[in-house]
Amino acid sequence: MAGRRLELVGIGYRHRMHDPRRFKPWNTRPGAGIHDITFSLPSGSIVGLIGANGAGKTTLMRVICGLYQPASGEARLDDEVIAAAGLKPRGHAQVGFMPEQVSWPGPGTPRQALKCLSAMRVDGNGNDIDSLFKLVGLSSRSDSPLDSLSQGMRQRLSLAAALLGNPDILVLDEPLNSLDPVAQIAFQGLIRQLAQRGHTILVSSHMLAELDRFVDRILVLHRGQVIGEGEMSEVESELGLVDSMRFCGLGQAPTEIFTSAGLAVETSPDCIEGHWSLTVDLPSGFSQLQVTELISALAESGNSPYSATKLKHNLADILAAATGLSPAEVGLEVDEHLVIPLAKIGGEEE
Amino acid sequence: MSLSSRLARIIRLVDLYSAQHLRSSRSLMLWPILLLFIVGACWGLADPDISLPGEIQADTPYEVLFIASGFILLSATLGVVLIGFDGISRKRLSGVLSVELSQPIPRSDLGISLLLGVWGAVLIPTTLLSLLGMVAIHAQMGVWPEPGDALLFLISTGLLLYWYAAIQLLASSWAKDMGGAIAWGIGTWMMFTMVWVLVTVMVAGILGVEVGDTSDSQYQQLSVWVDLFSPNGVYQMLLESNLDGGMGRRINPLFVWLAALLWSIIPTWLFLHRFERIK
Repeated sequence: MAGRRLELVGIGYRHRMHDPRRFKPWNTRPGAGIHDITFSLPSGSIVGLIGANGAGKTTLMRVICGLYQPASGEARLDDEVIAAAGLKPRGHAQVGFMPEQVSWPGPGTPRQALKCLSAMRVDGNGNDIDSLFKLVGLSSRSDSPLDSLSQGMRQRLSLAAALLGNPDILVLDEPLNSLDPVAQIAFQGLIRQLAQRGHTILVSSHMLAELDRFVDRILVLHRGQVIGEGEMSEVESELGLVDSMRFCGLGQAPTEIFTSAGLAVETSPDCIEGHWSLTVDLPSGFSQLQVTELISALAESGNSPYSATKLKHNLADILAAATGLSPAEVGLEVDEHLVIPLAKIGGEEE
Repeated sequence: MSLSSRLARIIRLVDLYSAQHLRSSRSLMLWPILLLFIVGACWGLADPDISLPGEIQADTPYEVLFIASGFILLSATLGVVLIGFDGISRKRLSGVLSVELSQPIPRSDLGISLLLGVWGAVLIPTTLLSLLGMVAIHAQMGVWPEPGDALLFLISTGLLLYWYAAIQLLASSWAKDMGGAIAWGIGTWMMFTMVWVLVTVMVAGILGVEVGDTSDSQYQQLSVWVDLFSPNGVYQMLLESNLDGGMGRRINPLFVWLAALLWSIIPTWLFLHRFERIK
């Protein structure tokens, strides 16, 4: 399957918010949205779209999939414009969309649901439905009532719907939400399998650790803008986020061994009495060999750690580093008025 | 994409949507209601021994159908409400609408398919039971309705159901939640079915027409014009146009057919216009 390149240039969109007035109860005003989104998806890659709640992930995906008409900019699939200001919103045969948590209400069966969606396509003969059920692992339940499906099965059905017509681009909105850990792993495997078949996949999540397991690149969205793009390690390094490890052991904390190696050390607050737990920042380029040497030095001093874990950065760390705000400030508040250009990595603050 | 392919796709979708609605439990509830209201009414009204209130006399099969149309106004239109009140809102709340809107089909084609799907799901049982009603009339009176009369009855009933389907889907596209969908659905049905007399009386009051006596000729003339703004009124007037003698009201049939045309176009246009912008 020869993949196609999706490119977005200066995409902007504002939701209309209900703002009733005494003599104009239907009044609306511009609310939250996305601003000047420019990026491209390399063919055959899995790109993770990350951002806090309300960052604009779903809005961006809906613009790409032809559900929202952008107010500015355009989205192109190779040379073909698929969404642009002034262009009627419409789905595209080569873009498959899996919205967040479709509940697939009855009556009917998964087969009937896909048959109906298949009939909307030009080539809608529904011949590939069985192979899609097989691919997403829903063959045994394809003729069961929709009401009897579990959430994981509904997610699989949504994925099968997105795969109708074998589109080049797959846009998956929070596909891991409400799945148990076992189903999440299965789903991640499925997504990887699809990328190997040549699909280009844009997948959103606010669960960075889960995304990190299977995406090639990430796109960080905050307050409707892209504030970081690239491989996870690239983004972390551009943001100045250092790797860190947590060492735990018994007895007195051997802080001096780390400090003498020039490493910044912090005592972990949740340490059990009689044990030590230190979080150590590893400078850029600190190799696995150096970690091994560090552990050997600890063992020689009689402070052999019983655990040494590499810590992963979470979404809050990345957003805090990108915006200069504290994680608490970045965290919960979603202000619909704020679609303000922020500092971009490698760019200038507007 | 050629027009014929688009039409073929719409027909395919209408078929699927209608079948989906016809399989639903709501549809199963509708059949006995329609059987009772349409076939039962035709059977009862055609009984030569029946004495109707208000000195109404049904002497011909068409007059029986005309009086039975009052039962269709109560039952079949309620059937459209039952099937269509959440035709859009349910899909939107469940996320299925997003999946459908992301498919490579013009929104106007998808919208018209949804509309015709709801219409078809009520039209099929209503038409079948209306034909059965005509059989009941024949069984009671020994004569069949004239083919022209039967056709007018079926076409007018089909149009009425189409107008209601368009109104219901338009209302459903505005509803943000299930409660809103029910309120819009039942509200529009009640306005045209139950409280339209009140609207007529209010308009008469505003225009200074005597409202104490509904048999007053000035009031009756006004009610004819006000009824053109109600699908039920237009339906009744379409059927009245074929009545002999005094049962029909005095209005030029051209206005009635013009109103029928506008009722077919305006709600459909409003619905499709809304559907093009739905999110």
